[in-house]
Amino acid sequence: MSWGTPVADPPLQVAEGRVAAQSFATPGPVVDPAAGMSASGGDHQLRGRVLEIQRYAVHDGPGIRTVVFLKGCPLRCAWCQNPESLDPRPQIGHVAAPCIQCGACAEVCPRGAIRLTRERGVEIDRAACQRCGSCADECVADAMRRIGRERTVLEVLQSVLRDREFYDRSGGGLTLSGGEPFLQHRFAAGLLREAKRAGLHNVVETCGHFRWHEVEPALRDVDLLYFDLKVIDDAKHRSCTGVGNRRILANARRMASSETPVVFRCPLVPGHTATNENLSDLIHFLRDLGQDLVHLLPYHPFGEGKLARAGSPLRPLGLDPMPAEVAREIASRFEAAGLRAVLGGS
Amino acid sequence: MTEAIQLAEAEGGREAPTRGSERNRRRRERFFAAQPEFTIDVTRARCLTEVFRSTEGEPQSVRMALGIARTLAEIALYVDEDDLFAGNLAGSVMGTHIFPELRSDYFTTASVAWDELRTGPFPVHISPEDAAELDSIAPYWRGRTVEDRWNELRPPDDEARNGHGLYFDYNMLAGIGHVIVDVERVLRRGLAGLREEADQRRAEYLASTATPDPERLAFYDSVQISVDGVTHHARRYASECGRLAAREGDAERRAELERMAAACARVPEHPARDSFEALQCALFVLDAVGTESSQISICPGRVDQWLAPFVEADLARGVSEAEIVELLEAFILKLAHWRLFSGDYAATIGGGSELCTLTIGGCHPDGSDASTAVTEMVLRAYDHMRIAQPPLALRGHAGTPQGLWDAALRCLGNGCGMPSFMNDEVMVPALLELGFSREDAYGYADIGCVEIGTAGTSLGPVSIGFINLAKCLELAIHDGRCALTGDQLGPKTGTLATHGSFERLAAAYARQVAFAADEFNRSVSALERAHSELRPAPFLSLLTDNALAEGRDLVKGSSKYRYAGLEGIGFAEVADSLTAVKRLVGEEGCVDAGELEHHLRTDFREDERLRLRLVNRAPKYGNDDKVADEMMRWVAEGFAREVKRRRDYWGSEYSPGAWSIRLAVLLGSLVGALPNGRRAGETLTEGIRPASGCDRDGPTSCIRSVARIDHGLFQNGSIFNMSFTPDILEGDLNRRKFGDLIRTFFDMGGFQMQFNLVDASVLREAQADPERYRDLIVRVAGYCAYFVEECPQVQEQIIERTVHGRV
Repeated sequence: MSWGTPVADPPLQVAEGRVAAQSFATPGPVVDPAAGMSASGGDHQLRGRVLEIQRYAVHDGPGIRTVVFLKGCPLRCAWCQNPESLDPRPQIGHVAAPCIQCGACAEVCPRGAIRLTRERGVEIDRAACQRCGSCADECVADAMRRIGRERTVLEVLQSVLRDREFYDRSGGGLTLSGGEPFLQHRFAAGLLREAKRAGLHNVVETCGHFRWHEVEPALRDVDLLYFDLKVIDDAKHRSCTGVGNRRILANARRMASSETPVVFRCPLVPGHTATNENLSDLIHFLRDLGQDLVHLLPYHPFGEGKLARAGSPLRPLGLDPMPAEVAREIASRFEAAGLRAVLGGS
Repeated sequence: MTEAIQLAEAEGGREAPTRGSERNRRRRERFFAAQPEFTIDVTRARCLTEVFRSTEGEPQSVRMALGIARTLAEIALYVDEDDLFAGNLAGSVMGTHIFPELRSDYFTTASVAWDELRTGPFPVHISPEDAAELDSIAPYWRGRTVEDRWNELRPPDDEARNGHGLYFDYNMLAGIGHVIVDVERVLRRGLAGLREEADQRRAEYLASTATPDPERLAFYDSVQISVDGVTHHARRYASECGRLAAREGDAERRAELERMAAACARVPEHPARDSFEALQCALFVLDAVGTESSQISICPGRVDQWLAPFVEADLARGVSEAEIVELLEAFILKLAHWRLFSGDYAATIGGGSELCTLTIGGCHPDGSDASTAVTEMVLRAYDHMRIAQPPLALRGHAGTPQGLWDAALRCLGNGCGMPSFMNDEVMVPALLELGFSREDAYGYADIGCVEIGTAGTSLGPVSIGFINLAKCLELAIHDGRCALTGDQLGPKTGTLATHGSFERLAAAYARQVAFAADEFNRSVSALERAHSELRPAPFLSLLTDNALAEGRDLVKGSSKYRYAGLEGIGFAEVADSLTAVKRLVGEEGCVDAGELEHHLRTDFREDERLRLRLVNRAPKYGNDDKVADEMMRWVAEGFAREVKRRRDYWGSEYSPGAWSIRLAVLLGSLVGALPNGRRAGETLTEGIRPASGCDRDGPTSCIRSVARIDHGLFQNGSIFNMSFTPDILEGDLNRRKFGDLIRTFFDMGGFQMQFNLVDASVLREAQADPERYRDLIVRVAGYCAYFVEECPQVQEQIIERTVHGRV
């Protein structure tokens, strides 16, 4: 006989007449992908709010990587590429395309926060919604979704370790991003420490807005830090991102003189960061820090499509993607000042 | 990090577009413009008919050889103004043969609407006189064809099983084909040398016996007649090129024509002396096999091996690399012009693709890398030509140089869609297991889509048909009945509602597969017997080990290896359906088996929420989910082990495959709704990839899932097709990471990967404006095709395939 049963199982259990639903169940073996990992880590059960875990990321550090996006950000950049990451709490999002307007979500909502109308489809009253997620559990069309979930360090690490063969082959690893990953500094530190213990290469992407003493202990587990620099003028920074930049710049200086390898990255947003004046300021600042390398990230509007989903307060900027020749021109300004400029990062 | 950044900095833009020689580029442009010149050539049908009429009672092998020899003597000669090589499959630029001895009714005005074909997406031309001649030829063949003989021999229900889509076993009605032609044998010894061996074998045989077997003598006769026919054909081209050269005003062109004339006078009769003669020889041999046996997947094999000694000698003599690349361009352009006319099967088997696949790379038996000076030149030629045919496969192994990976990925990313990638570490052990010698296992090459063979060792029935596993599951759900027609197709194994346990459903499914495989084997064995009786292949036999020594034709079972490739279709649908039943009906109990059976019969029309629950609330293969992936492993490996238990007419072991060409659409249209949420009639998934839209966790996740399957069981190849937006291959750095993706798949034991590099918006534009996108290449199965020539369902399927890569 060529076929065994699909999984090793107890003997057949056949009910007379009507089917005993239970007898279809035959759970397969479950293997822990992180088996062999240090079991002593006291950080395994730390919980954090994770937006998403994205595998085969090729623009967030060397090699093939898995990016763990943590939820919550202290900044509100007008050009945010990842608006679903801003709110630190889990959210409920609605995606119109797969929705069949069956109304199951409205029926199940304990707060009556969901309305279904023929003209406008599903609408969520964000003030009334208590984010319990019952609607998402009920939605078989996968239109109503939870945005972000609580997870333990162990759970995240198990996900990340699944692609270990790819990291080994390509020199990749874990990238921690957000939101602002250091907003959950304990969770971030725990995850980085356990990842390091498992032998992974760690990259962190930060906006720089954190308390130094809270983050410093995690830095020994960071192999490469991508540090975002947006606007150098404090008032302008506040108007673009909602917060001033004194702490960010101070952290940038400390980071530049720390042991941790750091690469500064500047998003190029027309009219915001990519102004004549700010570009000069950035070049000046980076040279002042003794940097010889910068990543420039030309603006694209892909993130704006996600704004409505999560009921984000941000509004689309409505800008066109930055043309390649403009980006190259800006890069050559940095080059002229002695900074190697990499467009699009690594 | 530093290495990454340096690479990013070092990278330039994309390589400039087509930079082939002026002539080849012109030839390429005209190739796209020349699609309407796909023409039926009736010479073969006429000559074969005349010979057969006048030789009733003679041995079949001799009649066949005489028919082909007369065809090669009478067929029109075609030399294009931009041709660098002489020879042509038939008598016009894109001419194709008719094979009346296979089927008598696929080329008559009664069965083919020639006028409609002329204006279809893939125009086929025939003159009214030729159409009338074909009509007059057909009656002779009635009752004498392979198909007629098969109809006498095959099980009575076979047609119904095909019609309901349980399996598809008509492949060999277009000939057996699917072979790696041993070009090297002719390059080294020349046909004259091989003929000498045949003469000698014959003499030895006569000396050894007082009562020689007339059939064996007839076989030797047929080989001699074949060789003389092929040699004469080349000589005809020698005089034609000489004649054209004499009239040619342009000195450069005259020199080219003279070179062609000289080469045609030399090869394939005598051994080749340089790269030009070697390639010219290969073309004549391929044309001859295509004229004799079948036009499907007649492959030149490892071109970077057999051509290498000639190229190395040429380079040493001062010939430039650019000149060699130009010859390779001209070589693949020639093969791009091969077209197949399959009558009413055109829509299902394909609109004329020939799949004369080339293979490069790989390793030697000692494990060292086998790439040669020619390897990268072949990639350059493909990069310059960017043409969908013939397919190109790269054999990768642990020691494949990084430079070759880079070159291959550059070629792929530049828009040619090729090469596909195969893993020696999986296939070599698999072939040893099948009984190949060490040298032959390491010498394997790609046939057609992804089938496997070694030059000159087998008959090559590596694509005899397809079993529709999704239909088998449908039968397991509905007590052996077709859900669409209610007809009893398979054994009565119970319904979903009465199975009572998941194991019983699984066992019923396994029984239906075994039944389908048994019936398939009976029917196909009958077809093989018809071939064996009626359709010898003396010229191909000459190029295959053992035939001369044993004095028997290939179709009489003389080849060194015999195996029969049988493919499964619908792996992902079956796996996901079983998982959904197990999870939702069993573990969670939220779906009732009886209700599910009802909604499957009514195609979910009454309950869309149930359908969506099946789609979204049960794990799916392709997301690195153990439960779903283990189910796929059971389905795939179970199929492979099941078919391997059978032996065909020639006593060959079945060699399982996992690929489907366009049949996923046809066979899908005959399958009812399934518990994975797939509606009735929707297309099935090709190869071993996850079902469309079901792999939602990115390529590494998908790769881990696919790699769980034991790919070594699929000795006839398994296709893993992924779609990407082209930007994923822009720049050295991205290409390097992409290459690492493939190599990790290989590290994990995956066999084959190939890629579609498109984005949906471009494909939509192409649908709206096909004229402008005529040269847009997409992956259909194991090969590339022109998107605008595909039928709407296939176009939708290509668009729907999950597009990986990040925006």
